Amino acid sequence: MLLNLQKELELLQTNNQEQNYKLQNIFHNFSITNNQFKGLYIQIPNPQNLLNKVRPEIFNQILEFVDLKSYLSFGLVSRRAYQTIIRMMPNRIAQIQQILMRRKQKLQYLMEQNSEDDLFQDLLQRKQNAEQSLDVLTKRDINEMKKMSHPPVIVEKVMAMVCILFISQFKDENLNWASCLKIIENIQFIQQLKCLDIENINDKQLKVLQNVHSISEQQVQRVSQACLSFYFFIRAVVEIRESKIYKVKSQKDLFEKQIKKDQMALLYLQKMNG
Amino acid sequence: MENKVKLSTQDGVIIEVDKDVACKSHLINTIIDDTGSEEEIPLPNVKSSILKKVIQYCELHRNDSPPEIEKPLRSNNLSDCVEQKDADFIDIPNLEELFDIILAANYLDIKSLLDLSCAKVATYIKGKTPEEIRKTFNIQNDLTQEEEQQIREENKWAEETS
Repeated sequence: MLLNLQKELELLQTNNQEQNYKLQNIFHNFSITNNQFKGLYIQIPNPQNLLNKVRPEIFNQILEFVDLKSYLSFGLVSRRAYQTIIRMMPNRIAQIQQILMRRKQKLQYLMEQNSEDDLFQDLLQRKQNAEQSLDVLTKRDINEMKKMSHPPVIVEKVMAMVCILFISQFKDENLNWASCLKIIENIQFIQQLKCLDIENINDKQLKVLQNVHSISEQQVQRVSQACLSFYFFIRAVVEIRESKIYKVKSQKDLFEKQIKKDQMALLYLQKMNG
Repeated sequence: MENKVKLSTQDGVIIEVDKDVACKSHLINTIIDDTGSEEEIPLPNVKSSILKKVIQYCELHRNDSPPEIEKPLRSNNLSDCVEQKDADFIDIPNLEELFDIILAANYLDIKSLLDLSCAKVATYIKGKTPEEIRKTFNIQNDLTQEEEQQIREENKWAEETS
């Protein structure tokens, strides 16, 4: 009995030693893995907040290159970003004041360089040149167009330009022959063309009309005599619309729009700046 | 030798460079005016890798001064706003390096390089959402919802008028 108990005790001690050995191994392996992990962790660079890398004054130099909307929106990035834009607000105000001054000078220069008399003289000259072409349209031309169910590409292009004159907000994909026919079939069509207010043609319409420069008289004449009248009409309209007075007016409108925007921005920024 | 200067960097590297190239930096120019060009010029704020990039830029403009960059930028593509050689030079994907160049240009007082590098960083901000900017610059959003709402209210007019 005692002998058996001693044997069991020895067995238990042996098992205990093995378990201890195994445990030591596990701890040893864990220690190695842990050290390796620490090593890896140290090697991974902690991403740095780049905003903290430079002083607000320098960051302001970066922000000077972005438009006002992006500048203000930058304040939503973090508390420090917001503090930066508020702190640098006087610089931004000064920058807008400078831009505003330059725009006013440019506008003044534009008006000085283009006296109203010269502009009207130019317009008058162009109108006289185009007058004949504006009057060439006849009902016979329109009737010939109406008869065409599958017109040649050139005819379709020219007539699309004519139709654009009646649609200030058009989509390119809607400019097909069927929609053109609807406009042409209007009984008042020719009268409406003759009473057209060329000044009201917007930039988008003009851009499409200017494609007339890429079409030659011969190309149109070869396919349709009636279409040639419309071609001359469009060319005359573009000729008038390209006169200096409209170019200057368009530049003037743009400057005035920008100046108004700058003045409004200044007002708000000064309010924000307290 | 008279036409060369030695620049000593933060990491102890000595870089020899043509005097006219080095003098694109107002700081170096002033030091040379004051003490001559025989001695090494210490630049303790600039690492050698960054100084090499700065010298590369100065060499690009050895014989010219780049024109001022229009503010604000009219496009996010810098090639539309600066000379192609400058756009290529500053096309650095590593933002930390870009910020190091900004700091070096500021320290060495090279205005055109400071403007160019600032303009490049600005292209990462212009037209981007706050979240996109945070991601690009590793910035944590520490604004409370109330603060964010207040800023949005303040900015409302800019959204409406643009």
